[in-house]
Amino acid sequence: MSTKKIFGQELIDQAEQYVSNLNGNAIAHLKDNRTQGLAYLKENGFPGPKAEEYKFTRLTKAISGKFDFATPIAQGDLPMDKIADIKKRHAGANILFFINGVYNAEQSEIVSTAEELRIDSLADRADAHELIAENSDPFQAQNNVYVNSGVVIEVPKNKKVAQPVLCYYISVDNGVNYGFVKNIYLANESSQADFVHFHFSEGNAKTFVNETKNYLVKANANIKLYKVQEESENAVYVGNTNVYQEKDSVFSSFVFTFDGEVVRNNLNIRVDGQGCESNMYGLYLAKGKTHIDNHTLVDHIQPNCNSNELYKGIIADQAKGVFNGKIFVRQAAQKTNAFQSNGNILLSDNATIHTKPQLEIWADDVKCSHGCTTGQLDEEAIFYLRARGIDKDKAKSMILLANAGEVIEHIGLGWLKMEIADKVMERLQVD
Amino acid sequence: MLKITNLQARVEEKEILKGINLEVKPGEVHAIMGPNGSGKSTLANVLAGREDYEVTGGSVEYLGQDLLDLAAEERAREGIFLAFQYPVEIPGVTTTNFMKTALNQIREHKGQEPLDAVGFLKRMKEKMALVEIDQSLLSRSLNEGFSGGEKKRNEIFQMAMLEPKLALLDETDSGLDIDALRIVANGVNALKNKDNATIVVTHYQRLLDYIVPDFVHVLYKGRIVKSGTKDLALELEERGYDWIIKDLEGAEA
Ligand SMILES: Nc1ncnc2c1ncn2[C@@H]1O[C@H](COP(=O)(O)OP(=O)(O)O)[C@@H](O)[C@H]1O
Ligand SMILES: [Mg+2]
Repeated sequence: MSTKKIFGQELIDQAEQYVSNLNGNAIAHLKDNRTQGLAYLKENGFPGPKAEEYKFTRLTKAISGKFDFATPIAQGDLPMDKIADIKKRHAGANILFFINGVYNAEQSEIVSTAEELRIDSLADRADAHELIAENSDPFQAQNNVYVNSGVVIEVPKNKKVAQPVLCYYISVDNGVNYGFVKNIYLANESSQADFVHFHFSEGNAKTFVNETKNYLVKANANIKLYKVQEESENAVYVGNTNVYQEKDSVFSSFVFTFDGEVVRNNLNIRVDGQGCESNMYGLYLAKGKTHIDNHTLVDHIQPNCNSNELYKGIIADQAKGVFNGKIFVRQAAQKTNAFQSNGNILLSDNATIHTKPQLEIWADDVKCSHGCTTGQLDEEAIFYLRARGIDKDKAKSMILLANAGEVIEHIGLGWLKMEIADKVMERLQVD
Repeated sequence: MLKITNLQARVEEKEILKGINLEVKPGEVHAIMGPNGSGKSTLANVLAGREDYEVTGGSVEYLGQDLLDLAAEERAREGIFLAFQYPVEIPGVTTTNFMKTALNQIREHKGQEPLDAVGFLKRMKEKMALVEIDQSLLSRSLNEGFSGGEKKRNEIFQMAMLEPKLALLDETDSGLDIDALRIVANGVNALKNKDNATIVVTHYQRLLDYIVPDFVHVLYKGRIVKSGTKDLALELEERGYDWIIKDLEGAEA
């Protein structure tokens, strides 16, 4: 019997307290998920300072002693101006609002027909518990304990959702906030849809968001997921995106991270069918004291699949970046093509990046490659531009923008491509 | 238009330029020749404003201004153009976009309106024809995957776009075949007029058959050790540099 030390005891106690406070007053069919999540936490605890997966991103420390997770927080006032603005800007799109982790059906606007797009509350889908990922990560387990709101978004077989589905996750200033969100996306056979997730904070309150997206991508479906993160400098965010791909499906993920105190994105893709394609793009622009961590895993279980990964980072000031890219190629997954690249530019002497590719390959007939580069801004290139009359700041921003452009150019939605390019330009010109 | 007096410069504690004197008047073409490592590129880069080179003495006057006081981009806006010996590859920035930004920053500096799309395209077309460069090359990432010749031609294209007053061509001829050399030289000649000047850095006389210099200078160990007319280039072609070096060492001894 090992006597392993359990970290985050306070967080575990709060979780237990929360569950007992529920008194059956919660979504009944999620009971097993709660119980199992809690059992996982009691068994494994939260990540300590040496936990392999979290050693560069000390989330346990970042949230301990700062929140009372035993007591549900009061929902703040809705940011009505913001909501109106969003609706105006995206007139004609499907828009879902999640305020401090709670789905707000009243404000949400669904333009697609029920034939094309089905949206149910988690509470109304008794099959939901089957779609909730196992407790393979402590924050995933914590999410399973707390989740009591959320939606199941389903795209029926052979349907293409013409309008994008926009999900707005807004942390509203409430003194101290936290939110646990879980949404499930079910893309049935040969369906097609674009999901765009905007995560941001209104105000500067101390905030914790623990969020899960589960994507079930069935045969021949084609799903694109975009995630845009602009949390406040006092917001700690941890998100698990769990993707399960069946044969001949295409799944593409884009993660754009601009702000936050600590941001940790886990992207796990299980490719359990032949003929699949998985694309993972990421762009993180960290400034100030922001800490951005992307952990990705693509698990090739079956033969004849391609995965392609490109993450780029621009890190300024005292900001920190972490990238860990796991590629597993199981023994049966012959003829896998897996590519991974992570490039970082450090704009100051105090900026740091920890980057680690992690390839584990059990099959023999595969093509895998990975590369990571970290450097300062190329002085030669800056001088070249300046020698043509372009000022130093403009030269820097041109080179950085070109760098970010390698990710941006893959965005499929024209308006989003412009929006991201604008945000990146705005960011790169200020410093 | 350019007056260099006793210019000294070093890089990483190493003295490279040890007192250069040179005067260039409008309409003139000067050739600077010399063995590898003598400091030709250093001189060109110091004039263009590269900050890695530390000027330790001397002065440079350009169009009545203290050139050394200006930042690299200010020099470019005032009409100095360096065609790089080794043009830099910049992924994700196209030559077209690069030129548009550069031209507009130069125009802004001069208090002019930005060039409109039509005006810009017209200028592009004209200059592309001049250096026989293809549109497809200009839509690609700057110099990325270009052949040696394409890079040099792209430099001259940029020069044509920016119409400098003082062009510094650093070994623009090396690595070019005769056809490419002729195209590049034609481009340079077509841009020449009585108000602008060119400094051609080369170590092959060949280029000077096409771009005929008014003066030829030999740079050796950071100093101009001999100046003459284009006949000096022919003599160098025949006899190499050794005789100059010997003369020089003889004189010192
Ligand atoms: N960035 C640098 N760092 C160190 N040494 C340099 C650098 N640039 C040039 N040098 C040295 O200065 C000398 C002159 O170089 P350069 O000006 O390139 O000569 P040239 O163009 O005449 O061949 C050479 O010895 C070269 O090695
Ligand atoms: Mg040289």
